[in-house]
Amino acid sequence: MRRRKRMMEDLDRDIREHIERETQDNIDRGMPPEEARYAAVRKFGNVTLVKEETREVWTVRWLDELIQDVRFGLRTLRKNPSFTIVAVLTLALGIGANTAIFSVINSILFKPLPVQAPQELVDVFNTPPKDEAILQYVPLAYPDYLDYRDQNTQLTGLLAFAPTEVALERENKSELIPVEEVTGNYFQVLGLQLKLGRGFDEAQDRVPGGDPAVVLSYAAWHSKFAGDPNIIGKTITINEHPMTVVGVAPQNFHGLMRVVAPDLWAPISMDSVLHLGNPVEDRGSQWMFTMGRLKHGTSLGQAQAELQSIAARLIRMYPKSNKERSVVLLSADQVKIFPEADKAVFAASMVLLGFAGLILLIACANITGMLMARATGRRREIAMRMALGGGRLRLVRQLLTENFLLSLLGGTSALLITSLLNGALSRALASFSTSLPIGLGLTIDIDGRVLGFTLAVMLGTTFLIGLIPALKTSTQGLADTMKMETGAATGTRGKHRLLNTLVVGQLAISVMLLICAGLSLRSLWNESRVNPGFDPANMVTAAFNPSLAAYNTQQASTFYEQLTARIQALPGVESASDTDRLPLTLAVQIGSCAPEGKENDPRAKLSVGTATVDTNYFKTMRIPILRGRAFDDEDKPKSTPVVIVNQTLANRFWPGQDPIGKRVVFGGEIKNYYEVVGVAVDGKYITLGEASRPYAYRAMRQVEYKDRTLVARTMGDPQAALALIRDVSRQLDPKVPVTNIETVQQATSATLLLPRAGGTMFGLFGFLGLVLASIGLYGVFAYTVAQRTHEIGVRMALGANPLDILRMVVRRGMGLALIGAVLGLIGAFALTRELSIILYGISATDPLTFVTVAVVLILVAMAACYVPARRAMGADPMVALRYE
Amino acid sequence: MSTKEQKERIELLQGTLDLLILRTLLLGPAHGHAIAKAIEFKSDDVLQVEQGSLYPALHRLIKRGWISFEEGTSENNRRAKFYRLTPKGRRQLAAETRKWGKLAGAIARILRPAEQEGEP
Repeated sequence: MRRRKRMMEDLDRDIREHIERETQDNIDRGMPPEEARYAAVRKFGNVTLVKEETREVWTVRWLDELIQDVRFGLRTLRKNPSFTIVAVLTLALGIGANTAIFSVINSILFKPLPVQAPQELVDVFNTPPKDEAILQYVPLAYPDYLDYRDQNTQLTGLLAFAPTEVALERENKSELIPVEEVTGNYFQVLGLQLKLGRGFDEAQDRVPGGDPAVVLSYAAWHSKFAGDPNIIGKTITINEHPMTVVGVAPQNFHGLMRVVAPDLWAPISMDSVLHLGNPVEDRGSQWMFTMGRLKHGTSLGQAQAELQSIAARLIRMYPKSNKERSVVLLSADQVKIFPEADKAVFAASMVLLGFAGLILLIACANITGMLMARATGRRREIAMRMALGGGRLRLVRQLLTENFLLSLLGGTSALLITSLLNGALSRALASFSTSLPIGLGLTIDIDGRVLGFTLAVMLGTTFLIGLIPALKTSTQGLADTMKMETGAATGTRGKHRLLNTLVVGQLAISVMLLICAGLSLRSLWNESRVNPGFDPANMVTAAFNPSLAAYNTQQASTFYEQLTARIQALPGVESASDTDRLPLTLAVQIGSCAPEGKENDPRAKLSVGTATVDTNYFKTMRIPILRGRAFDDEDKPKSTPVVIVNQTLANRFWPGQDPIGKRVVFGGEIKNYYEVVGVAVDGKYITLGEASRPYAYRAMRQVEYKDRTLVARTMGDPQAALALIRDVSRQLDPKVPVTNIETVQQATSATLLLPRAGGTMFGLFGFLGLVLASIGLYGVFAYTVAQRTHEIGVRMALGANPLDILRMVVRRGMGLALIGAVLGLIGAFALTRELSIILYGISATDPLTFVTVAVVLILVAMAACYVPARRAMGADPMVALRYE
Repeated sequence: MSTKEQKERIELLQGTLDLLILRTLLLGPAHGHAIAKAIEFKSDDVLQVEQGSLYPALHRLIKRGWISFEEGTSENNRRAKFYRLTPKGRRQLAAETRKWGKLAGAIARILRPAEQEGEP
């Protein structure tokens, strides 16, 4: 660069000197001085051309032209500030939506685990016996895991983990937090460097209670312990048991299951404290997720083969528990949560991304329209450039560069805003998930992949908005343009058609989105008015875990007897009872059930939901018993096992007969007969939108679970009772963890989460789309009216009434809107069938919704057309006629 | 001469002009005017090159690293750029000369029999 500059500076002088010398030579040869100089100059040739050619030797042509294009583009954008701002904002919105959604999807689906060499990690799953296959991939039993770990030679390490919940006591309050229970080698196999402190002591794994240590997650360390720098060595209380904090995990590590982020990790040696119902020694309990690291040079297939041979050995050694239990290995990056759930997550992600893409399309269409409108103003400039020799390709490149600058500005703004709002957005996402029993770890993390995606979107946008206007512009007839014919020229009709198509497209997409929104919202409304089969008003609930306080069955039953008695005695409480689960929360238990006499008939078996409830349950929940009785004190552990069924089950098993006295059996090896003593009214058990489902209740007095959920009906506002519940429990025994103290309505809102989220998303996207499309319609309309100003002037001069003008102008705009609406309705008709799965009580082609949206669109379109139409009406004919 | 003809002429001579400059500099460093004069002289005025076209050629050769330059004073006490061959340029000259020789020889061989045949 410097050399070039120097050379070019000297060139002037060099040429001058050269000509001087030639002149001198000529003089020496006898020419008169003037002729000598003239001959010398002629001999030299065209100095300007020479300088040009010399300069060209040094140029890196494409780079020069690129810099030129960029400079020119920036200047053009600066000259039209209103256009630039609108375009950049529109793009920022469109690109930003895509980036935000992609970064969430990225952290769930694409980002590799933030551990050492994640490509070496494999997930180990058991495969179930063929006839029991509900899930294809099953976690491992702990003794099996130990055998695999000790006997394999192809893995450098094998760890196991299990997500669970524990009660953390802080400042006198007990809260349920998600944790991962892990084997001692967890952090070491993953190759993680802890932010503070150390990991667990692997040697203590098989010593119950051997290592009462926990490792906090970075987020929990900050949110629950205020980022205390001296946290290492401090004691915290987990499930009423003191544990020492020995480490803090790195900031970007959120456990091994995407989406579910634990607050802390605890070692398996503390299993008796953390966890119950899944004994560590039992080969029949399969509850541990397992991950291993391949040795260098070992393939997944080899490792799998070896583990399968170990599995075969285990089958032989433990024929009862390990029957037909083999293993399969999956690469760790293939499994996000666990294989079955992954598909749903993937599908949901793609749908979200698709919607964001639609919004971007609408935004691009807007800008394309604006660009084409602007192109008319630049006709002269472009024609000039082409006449001066600018190639068509060069011109197109120039225009595309301008568009890329727009995209770049839009995309960069989007990224900036996203990263600035990162905190706020993450918090919003987190609050979204609080009604779920798991801790969602959704983050908006801008990493290389997100940046790459954004860049790709920017490039795509550039071409989407720029290519058509650029190509159209460069083909315009030079002669026509130089003469500046008015809007009656033929070239403009084609452009109009394109603009109109764009606007119609935008409107159609908006209509489709709005219809989806409308359907979702109405479905939601319907669901909230469904009769759930019990009365959810004025009820409170709380969950108790006496098992974590080392209660045995007898002690627990006594505890609950006293608890419900005391709660019932409280002023303002009508009745209280306990159960093992509430309906319409995400706690679902489904098993197979068959009527007596048809136990082995596979056609007679039903998948039945079950709950175990105490005597007062039906009264407290106000679930009518239609026949027979509720449970009572006669149903004791040693007496006949009883069951209460709902109407659907009764009708399915014994249509037209009296179910009282009949017997059923529940799936599995054990043949336990339950006698039907009552029929309860049908209700909703899993979601409000479900079809009638068979359900059965067992008697708590007979099953006697240790961990139960309390339900109590209050006579007035349930809020007052909430505070009292904890007090009562503390009076009985402060060591029993109490959690999830809330009203029943709050507890059952979790099932509405997905439809609510869906409805909100659709509504937001639909609204955004409509706003953008309206802007587009307004813009196009204003532009076409301006184009026809001359024509309007002529008409008015010839005696046309302003109202006629208005009618003519509006008719055009409304015509577009109508076409758009119709196309949108047709499109929606086709698409909404896919939605019918989540819709409740409303058909996917509900006429009211369709018509409402269409009407809304027409109204909005009319508003958008109004202003330019008014302006056209008020035009002074003299001015209009002179308008070019 | 029209721009088009001029352009054609220049394109034809670009490669050969480079060669001629290199050859001229083989005898020692020289400034631009001297090179032009040398080419005219050595070719017995057959090759009439527009002297201006020398300069793009010189810059091209500098860019490729075949010649270098330095500021100096000419015989009549004027400042001028003196160009000289680089070792790389020397090698290039040798290679190009060989190629030219082969080309000229081949063309000559093809042309000779045709002349004989064409004689009445």
